[in-house]
Amino acid sequence: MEMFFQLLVNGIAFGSIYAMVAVGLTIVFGILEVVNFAQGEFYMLAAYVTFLVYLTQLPYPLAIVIAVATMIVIGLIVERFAIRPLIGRAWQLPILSTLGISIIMQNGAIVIWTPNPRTIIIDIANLNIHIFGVVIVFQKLMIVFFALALFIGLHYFIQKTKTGKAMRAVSQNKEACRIIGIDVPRISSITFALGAGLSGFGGALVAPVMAIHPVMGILLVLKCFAAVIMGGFGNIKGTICSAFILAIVESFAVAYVSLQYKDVFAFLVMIIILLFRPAGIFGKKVGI
Amino acid sequence: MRISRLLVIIAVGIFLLGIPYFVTSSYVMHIIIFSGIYIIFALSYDIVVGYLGMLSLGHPAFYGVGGYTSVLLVMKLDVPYVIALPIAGILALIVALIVGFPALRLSYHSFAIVTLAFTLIMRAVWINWVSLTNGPMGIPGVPRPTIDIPFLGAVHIETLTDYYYLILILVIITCLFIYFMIHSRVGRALLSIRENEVLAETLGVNAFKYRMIAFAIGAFFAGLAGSFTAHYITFMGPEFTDFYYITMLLIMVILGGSGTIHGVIIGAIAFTFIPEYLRITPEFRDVIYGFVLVMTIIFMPEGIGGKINEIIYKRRVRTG
Amino acid sequence: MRLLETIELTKNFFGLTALDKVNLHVNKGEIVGLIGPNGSGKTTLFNCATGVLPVTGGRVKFMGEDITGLKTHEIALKGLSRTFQIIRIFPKMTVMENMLLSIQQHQGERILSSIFRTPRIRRLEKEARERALKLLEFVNIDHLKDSLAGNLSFGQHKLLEFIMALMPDPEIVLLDEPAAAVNPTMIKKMMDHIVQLNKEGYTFFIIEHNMDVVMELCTRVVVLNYGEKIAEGKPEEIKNNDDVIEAYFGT
Repeated sequence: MEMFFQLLVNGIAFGSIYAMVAVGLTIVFGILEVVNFAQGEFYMLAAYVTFLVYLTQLPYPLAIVIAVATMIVIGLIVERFAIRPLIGRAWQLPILSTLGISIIMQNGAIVIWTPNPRTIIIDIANLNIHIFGVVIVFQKLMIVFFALALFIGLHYFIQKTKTGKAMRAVSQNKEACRIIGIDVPRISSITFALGAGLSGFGGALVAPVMAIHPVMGILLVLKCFAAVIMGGFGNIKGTICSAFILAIVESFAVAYVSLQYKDVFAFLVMIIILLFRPAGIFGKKVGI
Repeated sequence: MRISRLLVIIAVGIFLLGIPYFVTSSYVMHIIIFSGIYIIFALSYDIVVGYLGMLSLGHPAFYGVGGYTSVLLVMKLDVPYVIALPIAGILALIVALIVGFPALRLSYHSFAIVTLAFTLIMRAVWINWVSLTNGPMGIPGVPRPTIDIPFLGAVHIETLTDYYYLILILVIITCLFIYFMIHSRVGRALLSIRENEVLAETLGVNAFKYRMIAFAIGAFFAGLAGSFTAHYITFMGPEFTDFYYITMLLIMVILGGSGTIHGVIIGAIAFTFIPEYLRITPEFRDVIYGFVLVMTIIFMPEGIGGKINEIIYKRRVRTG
Repeated sequence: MRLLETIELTKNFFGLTALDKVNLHVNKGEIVGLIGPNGSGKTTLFNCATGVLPVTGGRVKFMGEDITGLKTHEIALKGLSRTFQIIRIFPKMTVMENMLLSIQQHQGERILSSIFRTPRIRRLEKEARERALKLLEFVNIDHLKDSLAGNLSFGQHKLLEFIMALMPDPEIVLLDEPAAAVNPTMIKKMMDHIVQLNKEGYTFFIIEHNMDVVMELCTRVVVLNYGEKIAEGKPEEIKNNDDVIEAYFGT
């Protein structure tokens, strides 16, 4: 029974990370109709930035802020130069462009920082907390806590703020938005930067508990794609639920089925679900 | 016009047949043979990306299926190479039908991701099914092909020249098949689906069926390319399904000009030679590749082949 | 004989009823007009009949056979052709290629024999070319057969789409606004073509806003309003029907 809860808690902690990255993917798809392969690279770069800032002896919370801010800036640059010129052209072009960006960032990271994994050691992050016989690393609790806070904040942002409402409008009908004077390119930039920021936040949060290496983002982003597809492209709540489902399934499958095929379970779950529900479990929603 | 065309074909034919006689460097010969492999690989990919208009990220998996199939057939079951080679293609084709049946019903974006997931699953299987594939170590010592030709006896493919002629034959078969397919009713139907699916269906074209056909034919030729590669470098391993190959294929097809045969051939040859002469680390090379891909997409999405077609079309219009 | 028939045909979009239990039929040899104000469900009815949209309820019958729920291409191959309100052709193919594509699936399709051009396929292709040429001559655009379809003028597009629908020698042709946005000379031409083809035995089912065209061309008219059939009859009866007048002009 303890084992069961241990696996569940691990699944939830990883699910939080998957969900953060996947939500970024899904809103970018909902609003720009772009599948962003570079989303995982923001996660990876943010972990490196956290690492670099931490090396300068600055406190970890500040490192998180700097990492997220850097990712937002990079996100804005990528959107401006590699996505915006392609909006309204053939649907494959933006995907290929983000794929190219992903390759540049990933291999660029290898060139700059070598493929060797780096680690940050923060004492408090690695503190073991015992709750009813289940051992939880402090940082994992923080991850879950911040993820939940973030999703509530995001919900508020999209539902209540002017920008959030404009985002919802753009995801439903771009043409109508142009007519009533919503600045669609500006909303697209904000969305892309938001996605990059979410991913970056995930990367900064895992930096103290995971090895930091250049290919940490690509495998993660593929699993997050699985969550996005299962949740129905552009459906935020569906994506979050799917991300948690995938992470929990993965956590149990690794323990009870096979460690070797660790990275395959998420895809198998996705494919099985798509066989029965081609539009995902939660169906396609109009708008975000 | 007809005669000049014939002369061009004869000249090109003599040139291609003569390559082993005037290329003295065995290193260059090796790259030329690899160009042939990538021409087949890229052209087969272009059937899916260019003519079908679907972004498949599962093509390297079919290359791997072909390679492993023929290697295992030849090494474990003593099947002759002439039989193992087509079976490699056919098995890749069957796998494509199995994958395509659910995947080709999905939206374009889901299709891209599901095919990528398929590549990763196949890769995990090849790495972990050690008893069959020898895992990440790969299978060394793959025998060089022996081809039994009636009345001539067994031909052993051993030297670079032998391999060159074998790949030349395969490249010609691939080019002719794809050329005929594109200019047949099948090609017309494929084009119609890419341009306007609703209208194509209204005219009686079964879009799903044609997608399956194109996806499977693409996989068949990828399987042939995989089989040839394994028997040429006498090794088969899971690294043939690296993500790197998807990037490279995309560059060859997109920069070369998706949906054009000549463009893709140019792209494949160029991007087999360029990395060999760029004496830099693979990572730095990949950074450049990514950059080339993004720049091509932004500034020349129709590719070299598309540009050539445009020039020819303009000239034809001008001269009436 | 009833060629096309809808029985209690119903279509809902997200809770909105676009078609509400519509019963109508088209007999062989007729030219039936389908009219109604904008948004009354005319194009939706075409889309449901040709399988482009799934129906919510009711049935569609073609030559006595239930075709509800069949795929678009399956219905097309049974002999039901259509055109679209907004012109749909393949602009990057030549006019001739557009024509050939319209018939090839109807001639039966064998993938490998098509790729390798067996004598049978060559013969079919030759027959198709001859038929295409005849139709192109019929509407006087045969000189354009090798131009890209995208380079044609609007009127030529309209004609091309029309003869593409005729290419497989269909049992019935559904035309969605053949006279829309076309100049009067062209309308006259189009009407002449339809009348002549009708004499040769073709059946037409036409959505049209231009009342002059409907009155002159159609043997029978069906009127839709808010997805319901509100009237049916000879053109002159419809012209004087109070419900129809109310639907169009309000009271």
